[in-house]
Amino acid sequence: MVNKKILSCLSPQIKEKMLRYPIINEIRMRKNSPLCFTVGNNNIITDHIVSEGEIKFSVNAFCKNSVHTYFDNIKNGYIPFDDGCRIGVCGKAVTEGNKIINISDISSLNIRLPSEKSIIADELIKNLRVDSGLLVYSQPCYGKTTLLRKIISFYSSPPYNKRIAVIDSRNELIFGNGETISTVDVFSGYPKAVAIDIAVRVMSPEIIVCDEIGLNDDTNALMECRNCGVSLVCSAHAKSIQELLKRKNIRYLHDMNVFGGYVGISIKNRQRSYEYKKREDVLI
Amino acid sequence: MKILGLFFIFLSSLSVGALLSHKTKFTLIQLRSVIEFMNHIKSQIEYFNTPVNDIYSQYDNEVLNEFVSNISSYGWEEAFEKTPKMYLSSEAYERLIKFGSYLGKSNKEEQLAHCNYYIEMMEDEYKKLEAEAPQKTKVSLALGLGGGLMLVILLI
Repeated sequence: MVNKKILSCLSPQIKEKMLRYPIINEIRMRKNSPLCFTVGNNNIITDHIVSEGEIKFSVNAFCKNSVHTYFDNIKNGYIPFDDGCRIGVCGKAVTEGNKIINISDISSLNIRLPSEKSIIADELIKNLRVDSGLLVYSQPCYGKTTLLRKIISFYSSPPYNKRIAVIDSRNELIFGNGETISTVDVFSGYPKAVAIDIAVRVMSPEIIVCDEIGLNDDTNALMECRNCGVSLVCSAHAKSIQELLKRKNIRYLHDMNVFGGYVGISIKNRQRSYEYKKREDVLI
Repeated sequence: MKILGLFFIFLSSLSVGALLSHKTKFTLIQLRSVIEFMNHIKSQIEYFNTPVNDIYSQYDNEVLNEFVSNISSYGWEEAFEKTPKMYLSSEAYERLIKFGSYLGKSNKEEQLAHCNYYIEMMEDEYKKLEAEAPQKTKVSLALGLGGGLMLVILLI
């Protein structure tokens, strides 16, 4: 069931189309094109044509009628929304050199709905060796963030009560789902590298959790962090471990022994499966 | 009985004058509060990127509480209709509606320029009103007093 806040940002016609599907992972709105839903691995094309007005209405509503608040996010391609929902934004970029200075004519929205009730067994989390560093990888939309949320929840609760710093640059990782997170410090909206540096210096975490790593700045900050003895739990996009290690920065982190294990998520017959590999077992 | 009636008429006329003079003073207070509110909006946008609805819901000012709460619920234009005790000039109303209707519609730089433009206009209006206020107050009181006396004389 999609939450009311998200529904209030959509036109009545779109809401009506959504009623037919009890679980929707993504809502895709493209100007003058049919409305699409992603349900599991399937893309469903509806007969409703999304108008420019519907896109404008939704953008304004997701921005809480405050474009100035989300302007930098929009330039980076997304609008963070409450409860871990993220809206991907696509349009015409206005550039100055290599820098995007504005997005005009927003033509597509991808509303990614969070998996609120993740059915991930505690046993699985227990078997993941978080202390030596863990990197979760999968294709987009396979549940990396959900797994990270579960790890945060698991290790911040008794008997572990670990001090966890969550680097939540896109306001996706932590949302008010009523779970106790008393030992968790959330760096919300910070650039990753800056947040990691601050977290290590001032919050003395035992674990740092960070979503979607891969940039040069992230790599340097993660290296610094690992050298300080803090465990890292991160995620990155990749289909397989081979593909993952082809990424220059991830490969560097692997070579530098930052992650003691890797978890790959795949979906078979609509069921997620998790494959854990120790660093030593990774064959390249 | 007649004297009592005349005294009552005189008192009523004087009260109307006093009320008008009070309204001038209250308009000034309200306008100052509105300018402070606009400055608050500007600083929230400038330093915190706060969404406009959060700015309204977190704002606390004795003079404008009802008005701001109505903005939050109905938007700027309707807020004026829903708040009867607003004594601003029609020009000030129009400016405020234009100010409010563009809030949150663009990036930070544009929003700040927009705020500065309207705050400056409202400041000019305040200065003008402040300069006129002593004279207006005196005129209102004098009219109340004079009108009351005139009525009493006519009725005698």
